[in-house]
Formats: sequence, structure tokens, C-alpha cells
Amino acid sequence: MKTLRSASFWTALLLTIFAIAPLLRPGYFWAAHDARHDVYFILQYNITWNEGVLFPRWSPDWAFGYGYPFFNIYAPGATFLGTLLYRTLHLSLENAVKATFIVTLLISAWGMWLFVRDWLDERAALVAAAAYVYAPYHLLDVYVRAAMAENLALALLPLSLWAVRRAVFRPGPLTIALTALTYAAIHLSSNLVALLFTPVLGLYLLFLACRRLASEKPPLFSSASLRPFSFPRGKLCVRRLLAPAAGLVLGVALAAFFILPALLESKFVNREQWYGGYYDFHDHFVYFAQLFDPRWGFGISTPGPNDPLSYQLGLALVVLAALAGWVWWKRPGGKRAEIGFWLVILLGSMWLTTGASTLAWDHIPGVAMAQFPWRYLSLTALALAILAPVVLMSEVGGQRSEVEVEGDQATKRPGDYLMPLLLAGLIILASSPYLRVEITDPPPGGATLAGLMEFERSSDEMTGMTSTAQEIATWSPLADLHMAGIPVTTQVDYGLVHANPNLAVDARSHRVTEETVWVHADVPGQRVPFLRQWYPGWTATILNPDTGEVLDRFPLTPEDARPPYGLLSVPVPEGDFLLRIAFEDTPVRKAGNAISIVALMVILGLILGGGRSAVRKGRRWNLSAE
Amino acid sequence: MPSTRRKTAGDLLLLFILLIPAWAPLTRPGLPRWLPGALPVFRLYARERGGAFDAGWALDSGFVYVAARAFRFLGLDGVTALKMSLALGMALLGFVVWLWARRLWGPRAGALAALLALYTPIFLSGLYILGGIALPWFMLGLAMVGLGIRSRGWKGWGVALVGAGLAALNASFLFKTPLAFTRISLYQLIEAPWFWGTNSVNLTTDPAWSLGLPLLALGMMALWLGWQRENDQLSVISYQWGVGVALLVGALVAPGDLALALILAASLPLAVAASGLLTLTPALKRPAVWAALLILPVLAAGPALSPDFQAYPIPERPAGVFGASHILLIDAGMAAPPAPDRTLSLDAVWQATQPIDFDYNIFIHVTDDAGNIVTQLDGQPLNDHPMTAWQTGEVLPAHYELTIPSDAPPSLHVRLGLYNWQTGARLPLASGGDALTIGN
Repeated sequence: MKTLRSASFWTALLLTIFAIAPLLRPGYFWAAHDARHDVYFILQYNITWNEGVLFPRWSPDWAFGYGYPFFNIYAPGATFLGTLLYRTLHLSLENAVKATFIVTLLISAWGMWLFVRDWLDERAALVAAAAYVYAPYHLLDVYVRAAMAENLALALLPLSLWAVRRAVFRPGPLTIALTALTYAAIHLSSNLVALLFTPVLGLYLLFLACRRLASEKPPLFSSASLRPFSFPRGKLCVRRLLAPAAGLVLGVALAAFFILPALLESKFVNREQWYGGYYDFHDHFVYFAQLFDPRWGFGISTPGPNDPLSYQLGLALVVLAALAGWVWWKRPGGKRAEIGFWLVILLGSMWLTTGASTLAWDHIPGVAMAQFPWRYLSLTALALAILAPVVLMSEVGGQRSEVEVEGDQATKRPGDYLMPLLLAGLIILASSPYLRVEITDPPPGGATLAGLMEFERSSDEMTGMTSTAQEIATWSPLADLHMAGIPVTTQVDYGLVHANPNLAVDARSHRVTEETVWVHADVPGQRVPFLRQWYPGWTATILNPDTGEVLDRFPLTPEDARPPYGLLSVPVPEGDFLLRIAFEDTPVRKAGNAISIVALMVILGLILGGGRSAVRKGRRWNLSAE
Repeated sequence: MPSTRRKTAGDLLLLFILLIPAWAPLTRPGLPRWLPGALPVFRLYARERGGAFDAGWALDSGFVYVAARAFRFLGLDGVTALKMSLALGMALLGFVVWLWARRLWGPRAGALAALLALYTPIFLSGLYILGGIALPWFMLGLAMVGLGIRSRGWKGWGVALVGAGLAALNASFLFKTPLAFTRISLYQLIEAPWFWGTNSVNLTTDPAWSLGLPLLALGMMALWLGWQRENDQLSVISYQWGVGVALLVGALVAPGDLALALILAASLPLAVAASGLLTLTPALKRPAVWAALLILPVLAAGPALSPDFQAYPIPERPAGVFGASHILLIDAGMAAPPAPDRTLSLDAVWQATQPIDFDYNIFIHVTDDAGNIVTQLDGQPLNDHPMTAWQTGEVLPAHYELTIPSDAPPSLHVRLGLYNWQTGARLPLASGGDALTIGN
């Protein structure tokens, strides 16, 4: 493929080595904000994977072993990738996290390179790839925040832009499939980033469609075009939007198995923990000066202007963005409008990080979903990277990169890469003080279930509870077992069973999402208590102990949760029988699964169909844009 | 908009954006942790009252307060008005340097010269550490002189004259600061350290005095290239260099605050000379190379762009000024008036505006109408932080509590002061006397 033959592409990947190097140090950055979470995410994911569940909506050991529907509401992509690396490369949990970050950095460079190569040329793509990888916020996400999910999503943003751009300029089955896959991947990587990015992607799509229309006959400002809603123009507009929009819809459909439950079932967990107190966004706006302050730090966001971590844009990137603005102002040309678009995104996202946007945060629905205003720096970093190479495009008189020249068609000379390498080198130099991780000793318990228990104990407000819990758990009998290294073989609450003279329970089998027990109830109205949190999907089945015949089957409701932690308390009839509880798919999850399967088949069809069509036309998977 | 005007507007817009990192720290709440502390704000308020606040020193001038007062008319508080005047001074300085180099070598050289001049460590250090609020305006005057001389004609001379006046107006800080008794060394012009600690008596060892490596390196390259190519611009570059070097030589033999002024003055022609590199090698005008050149001074200034700021309420006048204005009691107050059988709770905010060479003690006396001490507190103003360790400009809140006996008379007075615990001698107040009456 053309990309693999490009020296610029390989150079862009090679330049990530300075960002990757700190991750190759022995040890682990346990003190980074989400570093412990990341390890335990993979630990939990792997435990369920071991039992054959590839997409575990229920994580068994969160909340001190009471379990939590973590991946039902939190995008699983990054953890899936981490677990895959953990299992296939036989890494330690810590190294699996680091490997995930390395992969995301490489994808970042690759995606940005592809996108800017299509928009400008390979020289510019080299600069943009370096700018994206070394944007301070991106580095902050890796080394300071250790935000695995957000990082994977950041890596996928340019890929999604690339796919949409291709779908607009060269609509076809393959580009539609690409758009769907990349957009779905973002949704499956980070709910928050998907939320922040979708309006930008939508605007970009509209912008590209308008540009495409403007470049087609009749010209935009001809008499015909003065009637923008006339039928032929309207039809054309719809046609231009059809392919990318179909791709985006397919992408959402492909991720529906996660998106639908996340949207409709997140109300069954305690969400106040995510937005109250420390998480009040009013305390976390970025001060204007902080955007230009080159200080670095490893602390957490605090109220006021003296956060012990950096929200800077990057001085080199600021200069290059200013020059992009200068190019936009001074030089008319084919790329001017798009430069303008990204300048608007840059300024808009910067604005949303600062207190000047309080009104928008308070009143515009969706804005506050970002939780912390500085999260919009992910869009700022994206725009800064895209704008970084624009100054290369302004060169005239003997230089090959005149604005109107399309990258793919232009001839290349070795000397042409001197300038991009100079700029990429300066960008890396500017970020070099930040290329470090803080390696610390493992906390008590390390990367084990005991470590997870210790972790939850030390950050109790973070312990995820479901909506039926009246209190946040601070410890549990299961946690005692984990601390002692004893495997959990049943989650029946025998403390309560033994106190009930009318009830006898005997554990028969135990899995992370399922448990079967023999029950004897002397009188009607008895309940079997379990040490598992209630959540939609828990279903009870009453079985004949001799034949295994199903006598009754019913979903467990909030009425079947007991205070104070909302743990399962399953009603059982009088007599002897087997009781099986299992975490199953609700109608919402089933609908999501079905939609995703249909979407996947459509996408596969598009890929196969598109591939054959391309072969028939004599171009091998030629996806070149414009 | 006509094409030329549009291009000029674009160049100016670019310049404005490129200068943002230099003045962006001023948008932080409060004041930098600079040497004069809150003194400039007290002076601004004093001038508004038609008086003067002569206590203490600051690298200031009357003109700075005129500019700040203009912002006060917009309803801004003293701190914001002062910072706005500084930002305006910096923006204007950048603009005039841009004009100066642009006239010689075009707009791209103009932007480079402006960045080289404004991002020099000595300028940023002079502003954010030494609290040299007069410096932007002083340099603006000098830049206008440079521009005027290059412009020639009566207009040029007019600009030079106005510039000279502005520089003179803002040079009143010379010879009246602690810097006046120090000398700087050659290495300090070149090395680029950056310290925030300013509690040593020899202040010159602390702030960065360097011109910045990009300015020196690019300047030398310009001179060398001009020499090599015998370019007709060589004379212009040599002239700027000559002026710059002469000023630097002067700085090495001059007392500290004059040295500061001379180095800053030298930075202007040297920055303009360095920007001449673009005209000597047209390849450097290529936007990508030019971009790299613009990035250099901004990056090199990195540590200087992170000054520490302190946000604290500054009243219109300090509660007291002790000694030779070394020690400011910015504010002091009680939660409730003193009364018998009650705990007196007193909050104070201290600030040193110069290094303090002795660990003075504080006394708080609660007296009756006859002046008899009912109860008292003696000790270090801050228990675990002796005065000799106070950082200049640092804001130091303190809290004191005294128990008033139940048999105390109902009418009580609280007096506070500092004294030498070895001799018992009290530190005089700038306003006269040796004890402040905090409340009755």
C-alpha cells in the first residue's frame, strides 16, 4: 500500500520513540491518576474473559467484591485492547497498561498522518503527527493522568476525520465502512471523548459537504446556487452528505451493544458520585494564563489557578497555530476555508476550558457532560496538531507545496523534508521536558485483587455503587477473603442465612456472573441473601433439584435489593429446590446486540462489495481522496 | 480592505498572538511574587488620593501610575489596573520593535525582533521577579528612539524625541533601589539560570540577567553572515551591534539598577540586529524556517513564563510599614473587639519587600485606658518561619490569640509592633511611632 511505502509515514512513526521511551522504563507509574484503575480494569476484564465472556458487562470484584456493571456504562475498548495485549504477549498487568499506551501513541501518529496527508501532503502529515503525539495535553493524558480510555479515543479522532473526509470526497462502500468502523471505535473507547468529538465531527462533515458543493458545477455563487434549496442543489447536498452520514449512523449502530445500555441503564448506578463535590466543574476551569504556562506537574486538578499539573497548549504549537492564523489571513487558496474551520475549533475548545464559558456549561445541554472543563483540551490538541503544519503550505515560489497542490499527486524531493523535520524536531524539543513518568513502588497489594480492595478502601468516594445502594460500601466479607488470598467460591451471605432458622442454603456452583445454590425454606416469604449488588439483568431461576426442570424464572427488581448497599435478596418459595441467579441481557442490551450484529453484517458486506468493485475497476483498495 | 493593509493587519495580529505567552501570566489572579510586593498598588492608591507613598522602593516611575490610573477610570481595581498598564506597555513595546525592524528588513524580521526583545530572560525577570513595572514603558521609550533614528526626517526625530522623553520619565527608578549597590559580571549576561528565591542580600545573584541564548546566537550569526557576504546590510547590523555592545560594556561597570537599564537598552538594538539575519539569508524567510526562528525565543524563555502569583486582598493602604520599608503589615484585624474573659483573635498579613537581616520579635499589647498592659504576646511573627527566612514579596498570613483576663477593665486597646529581642529596641514605623493601634 502507498502508506507503507512512504518514508514520511515511517518517519512519523519513528518520531514517536521519544514519547514511548519513558514507558519502557522498568517499573510502573502507580502514582499517575488512573494508573491503578487501569491495572484493575484489565485484571477484572481478564477474570471474566477467563470464563469465556469477551464483553463483560458485569465486573465481579469492584465495590469490595459486590460487583459493579462497569463495562455496561464505561467504554470497554481500551481495557479490551489492554487485556488482549496482556493475554497474547504474556505481559504483566502493569506492562499491559504501558503497552496499551504505546499502541495508542502509534495509532495517534498513524491516524494524524493519514488525515493530514489527505488534506495537505506527506510533509505536512509528518509535522502534524509529531504535533499530535507531543501535544502537552496528549502527554499529560499518558504520563500524568494515565487515562487509558481517553487516550485510545484521542488516537482514533484523526482516523475518524480521515474516514469522513474520504467518505465526502470519494463516497463508496469502503469509505462508508471506514467511517462506521472509526466512529464506532471512538464510542467504544471513551464515552466522554465521543460526546465531545461528535459535534466537531458533525460540523466538519457539513463543512466538507459545503466545500464539495462549492467546488462542483454550478459554482456556489452562480445564479443557480443563489437558490441553495432548489431541488438540484438540495439533492446534490444530500448526495454529498449521504455516504458519510450513513457511515456515522452505521458506526453508532455498530456500537449500539454498548451505547444503548450505557444510555438507558446508567441511571441504575449512583451518578451523583461523578458530578458532586470535587467533581463540580465550576472549580476546574482553566485560567487563561495556564494555557501558556510551560510548568509541568503530576498532581491533580484543584480549584484556583495553581493546579499542580499542566493545562498548557505548548509554546511551539501556539506559535505554529498563530502562523496558521496568519496564513489563513494572508493567503487565499484552496485550503483557506479548512484552516479557518480548524481555527474556529481551536478557539472554541479553548474557550470551553476557561471560566468565560461558564454560561455555556450551566445552560447548554451536553457541555457539562465532559465533567472537567479541561477535557476540552483534547479537541484543542487535535486542532493544534492539524494547524501545526499549515505554515509549510504557505511557501511559494519554487516550493512544491503550493496551497492548491494536492499531496498525493505532487512529486517529492529529498530536500522537501528538511523543513518538516525541522518543525517536528522543534515540537519534540519543546515537549522534551515533559517526557517523563514518575515510577513509584507498588501500593499495598499491587496488581492483585487484594490490591484492588486496598485501592477501593483508600478512595472510598470512588467505589461504584448502584442506584439501590443507600451507602457507599467501605469494606466487605469478600474483601477479607481477597486480602487473605482465599478464592471466592460463593457469594451467598451466610451471615444472614445462619441467622434465619427457616432457611438453609448450600452453594453448588459459582461463576463471576452466575451462581447456583440449593435452598431449603421452611416457610413461604423467605429470601436468599447474596453479596452481589443489584442491577438490571440479574435473573433468578428456580429449578427442580432432581430433574433440573425450570420451575420459575423471574428478573430481580430494585425491590429485591436490601439496604444499605443494595445487595441481592432473592425471594424463594417454600420447599427444597435449586436457585440459580445469573447476570443476563436485558431487553435493552438484547436490542443493542441485535442492532450491532446487523450493522456488522452490513459493514462486512460493504467491505467485501467495495473491495470487489475496486478490483473490477482495476484499483486495489484505492481510497485516495479528492 | 486593500491588500497591503490587510497584510499589515495580518502581521500585527500575528505579533499580538505571538506575544500572548509573555503577558498571559498577568491574567492570573493577584500579583506576581515580585520584590516590591504590594508596594506598587499602595502607591497607585496613594496617588489617587493625591498623596504619596514614599515608603519602600520599586522599579517604578510616575508615568506607570498615570497609565494605571487611566484603567482605574474604567472601574478596575488597583491590581488589575496596574497589570493592564503593564500588558499595554509590553504590547506597545512589541509593536514599536516590530516597526523598527520592519522598516529595516521587512515584517518577518519585525516579528522576530519583537519576540527576541520581549522574551529575553532579563526583561521577563526584571518584570516578574524584580517587579520592574516601569521597565516596559522605559524600553518602549528607548525603542521609539531607535525607531525614530532609523526613520529620519522630522517625523523620525519627533518619534525619537517623544521616545527619549518617555524613557526619561520612566527611568526614575535608577539609583534608588538596593540594586544600586551591586555589580554584575559578564557570565550573568550569558548564562540562563532562573531562580525565584530572592532572600539573599545580594539580589544580583538571583534574578536572570541574561539576554537569552537565541538573541545572542542569532545576533552573532547575523554579524558573521553580514561579514562573510559583504552585504550592504552589514553596516546597519554592525551599527546596531556596536550600540548594543557599548551598552553592555557600560552595564558591566555600572551600578546594578543602571546595569539593568543598560542591558535592557542593549537588548533592543541587538534584537533588531539579530532579525537582520532574515535579510542576509532569504532562505530564512521561508515560512517554515521563519516559524522555527520564532519558536526559538519563546521556547528559550520557557521558565520565565511561569512566574508565581499570589492572590490576596490588598487594601487601599497598608496597616503599617516597619523599618526602612522592609516589612509591610498589609492588613491586620480582629474578629471581635477585645473584652474581658474573652480570647482575642487577631489576623495579620505580612510581607517583606527586602531581605531582612534580623529575626525581629512581634509584641501585641492589650492595654487599659491608662496604658497599663493587661495581657501581652511576644514571639516570632510566624512561629516556624523566622524573618530572615522570609522570601521577598512573599505573602505571609499569621494568626495570633491572646486570652484576656476576666478582671480586665471593659475598655481595652490592642497595640502591635516589632522589636529587636536582643536590645529591646523597637522598629520604627514609616508613619511615625513604634506601635500600631489595631483596635479598641
